[in-house]
Amino acid sequence: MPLNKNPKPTLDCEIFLDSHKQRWSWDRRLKLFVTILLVCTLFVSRNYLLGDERSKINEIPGLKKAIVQAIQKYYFKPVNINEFEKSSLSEILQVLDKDSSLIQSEPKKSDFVRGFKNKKSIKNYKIIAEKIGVFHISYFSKSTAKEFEKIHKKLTKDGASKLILDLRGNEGGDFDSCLKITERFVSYGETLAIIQEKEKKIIKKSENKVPIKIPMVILVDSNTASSAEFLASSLRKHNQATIIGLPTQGKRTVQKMIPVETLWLSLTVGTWEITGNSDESEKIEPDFFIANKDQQLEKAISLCKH
Amino acid sequence: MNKIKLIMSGLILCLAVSSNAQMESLSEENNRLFVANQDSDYVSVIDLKTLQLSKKINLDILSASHMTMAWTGKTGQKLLVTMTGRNEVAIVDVEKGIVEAKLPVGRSPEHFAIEKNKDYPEYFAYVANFDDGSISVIDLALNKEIKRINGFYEPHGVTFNADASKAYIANFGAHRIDVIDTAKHEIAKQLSIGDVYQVALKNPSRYLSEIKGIANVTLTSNGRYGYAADGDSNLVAVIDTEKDSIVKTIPVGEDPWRTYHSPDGKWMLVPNNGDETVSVIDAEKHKLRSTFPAGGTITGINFVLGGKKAYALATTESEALLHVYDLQKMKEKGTILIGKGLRLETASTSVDGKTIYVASSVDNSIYSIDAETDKVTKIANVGITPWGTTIQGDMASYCH
Repeated sequence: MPLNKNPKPTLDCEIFLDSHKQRWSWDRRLKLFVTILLVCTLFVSRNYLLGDERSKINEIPGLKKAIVQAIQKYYFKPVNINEFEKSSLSEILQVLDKDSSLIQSEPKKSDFVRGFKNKKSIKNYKIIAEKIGVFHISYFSKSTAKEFEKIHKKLTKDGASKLILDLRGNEGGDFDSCLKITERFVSYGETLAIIQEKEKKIIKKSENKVPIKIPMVILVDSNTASSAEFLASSLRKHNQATIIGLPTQGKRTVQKMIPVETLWLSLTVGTWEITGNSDESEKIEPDFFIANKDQQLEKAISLCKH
Repeated sequence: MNKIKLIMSGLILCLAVSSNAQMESLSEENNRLFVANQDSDYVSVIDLKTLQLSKKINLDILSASHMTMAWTGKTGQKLLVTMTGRNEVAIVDVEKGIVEAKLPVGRSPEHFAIEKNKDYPEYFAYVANFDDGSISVIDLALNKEIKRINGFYEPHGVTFNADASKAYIANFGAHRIDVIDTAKHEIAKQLSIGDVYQVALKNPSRYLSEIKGIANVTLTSNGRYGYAADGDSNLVAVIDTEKDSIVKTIPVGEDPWRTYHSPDGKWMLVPNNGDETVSVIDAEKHKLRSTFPAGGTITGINFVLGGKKAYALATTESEALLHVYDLQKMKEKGTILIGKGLRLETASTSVDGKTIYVASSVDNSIYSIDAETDKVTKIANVGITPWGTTIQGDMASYCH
């Protein structure tokens, strides 16, 4: 139906008044009342339940003690543990940085439960035009470094002389696995990572005597985070990789997952840096700011060709 | 005098007859293979003399049955079945072929162990409820859940120590073993294996869903030590069961599943599904002795001939096979092809240690393998998706 660009005001107004009368019939009023009542009930009960959950957490025996012990042992910033004595668990958790949290894990499903099948974290690897190898790391699991070795070997065998590494949507994962992949590109003796922990600064050096030296383009987006940001910025520094896409999340913290009385404490234990002077929440700015996904890949292919 | 002799002879004869009857009865109980079928509403009973399906014990409802275990109660042979999909366990009277009781337990009960001790002269079971992190304590004389112990992370294997005064609970969702005092049914101690891992990611829940912790604690033959493989750490911890402390850790291959002990007490075998090897640990010296090549995903290992030989159940992308290991010569003897496109789940070793019975879930069959000749016999149509197998008093059976 074509849009009426010049409506007749009077007629429109009449129609409106007519429908308005209908809208506010007793029947409609009753329906509205019931809806509002339902929404209010849901809102109140939800808050009641949430409050109940919170109080449940505060009531778990030994939980506060276990959390305070973990903070004392691992937390990356100095905190006054004595002040926690009078604090509730919720108050203690509020003191921690934004990346630390208390979580309830969901049980694993299907065959993975038995430890018999590993999910593949590197997907869609192939050779495209002019010997460009493309692969997507969706997540860093414990076995991602091993997967990378196999895929790199295969792409090299198939003639790849340039690489496009897709880290879009990669929210990070196992940090050791990420470090292993990074080390494959960093020459022996060069600084791989600087990790600032509670009372010490750990400088990790590459021990790789045969680094991969190949032109690379990396795709990132606003979901690229943590370990993936580390790999991207490290490859830009050490391998002159070009980064295309959108600014990343800006999460430069490392956590330990600590079991505490049936729950898990994800506790920040350090921050990572590449150069030694980056901020803890610094995002990676791409060399080519492109929002469209298809255009990101087109640009990457174009850069590889030239 | 002659009368006394006569009475004595009669008594001896009576005792002999009764003893013989008891042996026959024992022999009967030990000659039944029980199979939990994931997609049938019954437990299959295989007569091991004829290798025929002799009975179907009706559970009345599809329940994704996982595992069974048999014991002899006051009224004859009984069977405990975890009905994983129904969050229940069934207690079965084998002779009558009926379910005596169905008990609600926690979410997703899978594995369990049955024992009795000085505090509980009748049999009791610890059932691990995988999804809600609890253990149901079942009194098998009363057919009743007497306690539910909380505080576990995906509890997988349950192992009682020699006098059943303690139970070791393996947490697959964490790198931890909980030791339970079975007199109080309370967690007495916690043992951590491996490091606390470092992650750098936005959503930590995802990492938790990928943890591969500890599947089982396996005791040495004398019960003095417990062996526990940790999937993420690539190591096996040796636990002193008197002090309940970790006395040693032994590096093995990648993604170790769990440990299996040889009946002669010499070896612990560990399938490493990450690098497709099997680690052989000297269970007396607590040292890695050898590493066998493997292949495919190994879901279990069965020892035969007193521990001289072992079969590892493997499933590759295209076939199901057994890796055969000679533990006297400490080498792989070869493989036995079970079939293309099949998938092996679990196996039980017969009481005499001369035969293993393997559950093959894809073709609804049990395969019997003669340890002397490696001859394979198929028992077809035992039930839909056969899973856990057990023989009362068997040399070994396990589940996954």
